[in-house]
Amino acid sequence: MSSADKLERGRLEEEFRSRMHDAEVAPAPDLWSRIEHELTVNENREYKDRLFIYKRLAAACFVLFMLAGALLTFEYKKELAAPATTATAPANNPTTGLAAAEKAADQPTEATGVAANETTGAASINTAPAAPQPKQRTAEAVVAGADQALAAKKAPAAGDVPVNAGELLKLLTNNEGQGNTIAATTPAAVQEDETPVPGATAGIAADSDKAAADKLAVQQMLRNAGSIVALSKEQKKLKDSFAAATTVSSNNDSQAEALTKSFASLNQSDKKAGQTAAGGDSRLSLGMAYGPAYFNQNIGLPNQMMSTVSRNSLVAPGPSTSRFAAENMEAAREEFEDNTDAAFSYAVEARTGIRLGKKWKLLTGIGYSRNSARTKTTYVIRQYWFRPGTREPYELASTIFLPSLNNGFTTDSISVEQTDPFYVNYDYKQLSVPLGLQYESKIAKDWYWYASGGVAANFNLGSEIKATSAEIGSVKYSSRDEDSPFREVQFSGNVGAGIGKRVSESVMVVIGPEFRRYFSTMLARPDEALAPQGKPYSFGVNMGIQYTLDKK
Amino acid sequence: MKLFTKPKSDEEKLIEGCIAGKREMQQKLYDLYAKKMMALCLRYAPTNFEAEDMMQEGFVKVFANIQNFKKDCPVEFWIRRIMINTALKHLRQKSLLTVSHETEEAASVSTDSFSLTGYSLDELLGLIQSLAPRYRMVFNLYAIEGYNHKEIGEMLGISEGTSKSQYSRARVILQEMLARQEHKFKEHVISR
Repeated sequence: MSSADKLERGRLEEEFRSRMHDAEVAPAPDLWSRIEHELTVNENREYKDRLFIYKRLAAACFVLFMLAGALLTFEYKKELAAPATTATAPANNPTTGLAAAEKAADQPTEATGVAANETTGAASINTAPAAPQPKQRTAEAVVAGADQALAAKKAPAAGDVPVNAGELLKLLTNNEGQGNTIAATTPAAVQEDETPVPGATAGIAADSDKAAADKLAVQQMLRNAGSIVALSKEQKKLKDSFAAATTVSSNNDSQAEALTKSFASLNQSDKKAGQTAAGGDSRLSLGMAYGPAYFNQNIGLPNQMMSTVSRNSLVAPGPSTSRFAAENMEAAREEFEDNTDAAFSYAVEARTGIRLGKKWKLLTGIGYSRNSARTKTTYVIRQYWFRPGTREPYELASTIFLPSLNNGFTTDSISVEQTDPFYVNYDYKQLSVPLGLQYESKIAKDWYWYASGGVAANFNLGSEIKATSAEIGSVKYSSRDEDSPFREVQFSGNVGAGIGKRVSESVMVVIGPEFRRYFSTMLARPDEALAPQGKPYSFGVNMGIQYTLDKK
Repeated sequence: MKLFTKPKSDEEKLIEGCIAGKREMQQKLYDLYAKKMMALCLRYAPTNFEAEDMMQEGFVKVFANIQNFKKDCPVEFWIRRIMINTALKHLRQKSLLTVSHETEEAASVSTDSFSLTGYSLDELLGLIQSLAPRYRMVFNLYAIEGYNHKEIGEMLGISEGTSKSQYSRARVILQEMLARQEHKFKEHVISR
């Protein structure tokens, strides 16, 4: 066993433990502010990470939305095609039944024509010439065929049709002995009730040999003819009822036919709408649009102007600072770069659209936008100035961002102090006059997609840089402020795409992403600014509603 | 429904505030343990500057991970452990904990007449900081924190025997330094 193994916690260990374990040494006074600064930076990094995740999530949602839309469109079109074929099938059945009946009617019996005509609801039994026994069977066959045809329609009222048809057939055929007589009667005999029928008389006269014997028979026949006329009236009523029944049946079946027609009309309207894209037959429309956006003011930090020089340095002239201030300035710069985020920005527009051709639309109107950004910082920059006339010294507290907007950085000295975290908000308000073109194309019945592009003149309504710290005064420039370093007018270009849905005949809603980039910097004289000036841009979601004003 | 709930201690409120990210609560927790943790970091770090770095990193870790604190031990112990791990990480990054499997046996020095009564805290910290990093680490962990050599071996990634050997060597060096200080003190007294 080595001597190390034999080591026990002796007096030395106990002495050290008692003196050192709970010993206290005061840390450096600024250690907490360093820790706090690191915590703030970490929190902002986490916030940015979360924001990045949310952005990806939003992008994924958008892609999913588009995919779901495309899938729904595909399914909808498939469904649209399917009922059209199933709806035409029953509509074709009566035709098939009628065709069968017509086929049966091609038999050399004229009564089949009656049956066939009755089936079509345009029957006139008066035109039915005489027919022997086979006529009855043929008629039954035809009616049965028609019944089958009606039954094949599976209409609820189809069951009534065979009854009526059967009754009618019974009435038509129940007087076999009078068949010839009925056949001999002319239509005039039917039309003139209870009056001697010339045709019938002529028939009787033709049989002069049996005149006497048949006189009574003729009288009887005439009576029978009268009854037949009455019967014919009854038959006519029944025929009408049959026709009505057929019509009812047809009406029931007409639901399917109507459905088919409606689908056909839908298809036609689709084709028509496809020709005129989403605008229907409208030419002029009004709309409102709202778009929350991510705005990047795209202003960098200067490399030199804010680089303070230590009092002990012999390197270059510049604002006099302490070593700590120089270090803090660097930390403030890093903090600004790390902690500047987009704040809530939005734009609202009132638009007028004029249709150009079938798929193009010219858009113009007026809009208001508010672009914002935000920095979380812990540094206050104090600049010491002398008033021009009196040479009276005064102090101006600001953030790292503010001096970067100005030129002529002639402050006497700078002090950079670390304080509690505070926010600096940048707000830019603009009035916009946009002019753009939009291309639209239909993707489904009420859905369409669009792609748009345009330019806008943006008039500065005011700019404000406001800190939540009471130590730092806000900077605010109105639209007519001569001291404002910002441009009065900025031009921008925008592109966008999205989808739209017609919610009623005149109202449509649209949604889609939109990217806007300004053609110039926010500062009027960027070359003279002490910080590099980029061209701002925004990326947002355009949500709008359009109302069609007129019809062609 | 709980009608009676155990009132929360100040420490629990402090921890909950820290979990919620409230800055003032974080500062209170820092104020509560900053001095002790600073003394701890000074024992492990070779300089005050590095000790502050360790402490800053350690407290940032504490606030970033305080939601993982299970309350099965005092929060001070948990913070102390984080500080020690941070110190180990610092020393590893600087390759000051190069493993050397020492087997040499240190000569045992008698500590019967040993006393630290006449030494100030700064002097004692100076003594510990003057040890080589690996000796300083093992000495701190064994003599002051109370870990055994098996635990120290696991923490430092060395064998238990190496830990014992390094501790033995650190102990001898400290005793020699104390003896020299004692000798200087006596000479100073005699000369006066």
